[in-house]
Amino acid sequence: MQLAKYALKRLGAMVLLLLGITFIVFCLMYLAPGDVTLMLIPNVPTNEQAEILRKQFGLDQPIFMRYGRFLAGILQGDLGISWIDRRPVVPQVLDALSYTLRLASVSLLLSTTIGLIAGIVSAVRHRSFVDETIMTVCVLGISTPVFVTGLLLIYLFSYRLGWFPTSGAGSWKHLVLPAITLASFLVAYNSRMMRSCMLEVLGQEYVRTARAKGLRELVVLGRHALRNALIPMVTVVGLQVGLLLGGSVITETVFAYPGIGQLVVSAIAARDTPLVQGCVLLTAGGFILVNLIADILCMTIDPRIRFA
Amino acid sequence: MNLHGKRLLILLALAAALVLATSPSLAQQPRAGGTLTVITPADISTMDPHAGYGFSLRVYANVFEPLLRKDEKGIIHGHLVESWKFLDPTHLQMTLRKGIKFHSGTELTADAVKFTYERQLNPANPAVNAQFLRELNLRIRVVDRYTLVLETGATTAVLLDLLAESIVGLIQDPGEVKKWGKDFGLHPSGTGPFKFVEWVRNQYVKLTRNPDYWGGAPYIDTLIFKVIPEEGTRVLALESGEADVLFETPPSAIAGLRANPKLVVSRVPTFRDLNMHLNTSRAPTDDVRLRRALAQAINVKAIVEEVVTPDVGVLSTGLFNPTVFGACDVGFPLYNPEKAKQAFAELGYRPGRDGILAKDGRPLQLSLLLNPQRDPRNPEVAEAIQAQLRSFGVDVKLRLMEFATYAKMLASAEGDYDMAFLGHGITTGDADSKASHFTRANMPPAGLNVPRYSSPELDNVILAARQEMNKEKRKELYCKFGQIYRDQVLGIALYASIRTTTTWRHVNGMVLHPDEWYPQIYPKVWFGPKN
Repeated sequence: MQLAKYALKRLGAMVLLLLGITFIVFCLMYLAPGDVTLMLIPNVPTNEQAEILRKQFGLDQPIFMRYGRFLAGILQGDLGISWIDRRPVVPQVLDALSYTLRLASVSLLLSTTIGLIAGIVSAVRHRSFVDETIMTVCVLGISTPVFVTGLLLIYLFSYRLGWFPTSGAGSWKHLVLPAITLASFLVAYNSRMMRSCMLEVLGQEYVRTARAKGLRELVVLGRHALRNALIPMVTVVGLQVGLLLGGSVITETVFAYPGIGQLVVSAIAARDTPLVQGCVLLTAGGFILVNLIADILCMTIDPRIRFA
Repeated sequence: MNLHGKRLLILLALAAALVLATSPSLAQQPRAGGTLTVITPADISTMDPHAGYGFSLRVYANVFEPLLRKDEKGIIHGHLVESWKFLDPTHLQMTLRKGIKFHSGTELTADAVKFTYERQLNPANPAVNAQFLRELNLRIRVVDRYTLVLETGATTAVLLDLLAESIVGLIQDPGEVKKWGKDFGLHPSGTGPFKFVEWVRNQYVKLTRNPDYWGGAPYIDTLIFKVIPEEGTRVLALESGEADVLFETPPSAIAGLRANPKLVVSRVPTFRDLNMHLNTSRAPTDDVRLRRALAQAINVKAIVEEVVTPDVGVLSTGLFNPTVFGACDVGFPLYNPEKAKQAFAELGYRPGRDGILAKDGRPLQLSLLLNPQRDPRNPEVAEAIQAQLRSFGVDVKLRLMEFATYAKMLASAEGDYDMAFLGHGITTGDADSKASHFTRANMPPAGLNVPRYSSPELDNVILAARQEMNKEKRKELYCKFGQIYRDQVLGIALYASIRTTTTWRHVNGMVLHPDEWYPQIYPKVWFGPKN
């Protein structure tokens, strides 16, 4: 009951938050120099021609009218029509989101499993050769720019070895290289995070108590240490889910992967306001939802965290 | 050259002749089959030519066709039209080829042409690129099933060039347009050598051969345009064999690709050229003496040779790429460091303590506006100009803007720039498309007269050239146009663009056309054996 009430309260806040986001995006798109007619008309539009297009898109109306009409549309579940290709926004965004979700889930799976295992191993074998090696690899992972990792992987596995396609989407093979690219950064981040959380917990008195009770090391680590060390990790991974949902522009661009990141960047460049709004609204909604789920998960793992 | 070198040359020539004579590719007959994959940096926006822009245009030409077409040598041929004649300077009668069918099976008739042009010009919803047709004040009269008469508002020397232009006159299937309405872009039907199969957003467009194509069915079965936004990935996709054709090869990759014997790297002249225009509408560049001093201070030749490199562009001596009709050497570049120095001094500019020239306490600071993406070496060229002008004491601020902002600034009423790069891609291959920007009528915000200069003399020359039917006289008028631009130093000519295209060696029958957009059509392409 308490949980339901908490979730409802958070969902209410989410609506307000989304409203604020749409307003900010609307203002930013309004303030950005240039408009969609510059992109649509080759060379430079004659004024008359641009006016016809502006009228079609409602760009001749005052900003508050336009924003009001946009909000009215949302209430009817209609995010409008893209100005560039004159097709409805929602299916386009959902399509791109589905690609992003696929990529995000694979790379998240990779980055959490490998990251957690590497972190735990480093913590348990603290200051050993294994620890040093893992941490060195992590520094490399964090500090290599994604496009470098991406292009190196393409060079090696697509061009030299021919195992995977260089770019595109459609089959599981298309997912491998972009997923590894995205994960390489997150693995590094997660394992460092996991290591420090684990080290902190391992220094706690209840761990010493557990060992003193004569529990097997595996039980000490698994039941007593890990469960406590995981709490901050849930929040971190939850944030990463949100980040991945927003699409990773660079990885998607390098691999020509048709996700939401590429869609929103091209929409911004074309000043296609309805499409930008659609992308931002749906990804922001997803981000907030995932964070809510992460918070609820945290409470389930750690009963000490209470609903506030 | 010494005797030894000469002998070597002769030997090489003999060897080359031998190779050519015995080369299997000469004896080979074109083979049918295969999938040609062409890389495109950005996705199409729709398959409906009414609303398409940017890279969409490269796909359209395979599905839709115009009445006339200009070949890579600049000669106009009848395409859907069998013959044409001018009844008088403003009436053009055209006769369509008989028996041409749209992909839907309907026959192409004069009514379809009229329908397409009127759809493009529909005042309530004009085609995004209807501008050319609109300027012609076109009226179309159907005489019979295969004959129509086009009436223009005024005598236009470039009427045929415009009709052969790569964007606007692609004939669409009226039955299908009416049937699908707004969704025609998802169900396109034209007369072209390829039929539309599918478009997967941000991934690829797939076309299949039209076995009934009136010009002879294509050899290849499937034509794919694959979207790859990242430069490095494009190169690797080509090299790994996932794609067969890469237009606009990144300059940094050219040397590596040339070294690969399986690939052919071709330098293709284009209709495009790049200028740096100077803003004549505000101080200090409103003074022609200062504009001339700036032009004399920039060593364009060195920049073109060292920075631009021959794979991207060659030195311009006039305002048009030499491939364009009307191109004329007007004596660019104007580089003359002695005179530049002298001119700055005569204008009253004295170097300040920081080395920057100043007059009446105001330093000589100029802004240079550019879009880094459109021409590959833009930022580097701008930096070179900045460094060269700095050595004369002129302080240049570079303003690199993304495209929408850049376009807005160029076309804004205020014109907040002193100097601006502008590439002119001429789709007609005729000087008029570029020259007409420099009229009074095209002063921003109405048009793209970037130097913001106009004079009755300049207007007269441009308009006279547009109406002059005698080719030699037209050429002279464009020379005159170039001379006025040079004398007034409305800017400087930087370079004539080269496009470097890379294909696999076993891809035969590619036509590399100077028009960047349109004639990338593949009805005669076939695959030889891969080795």
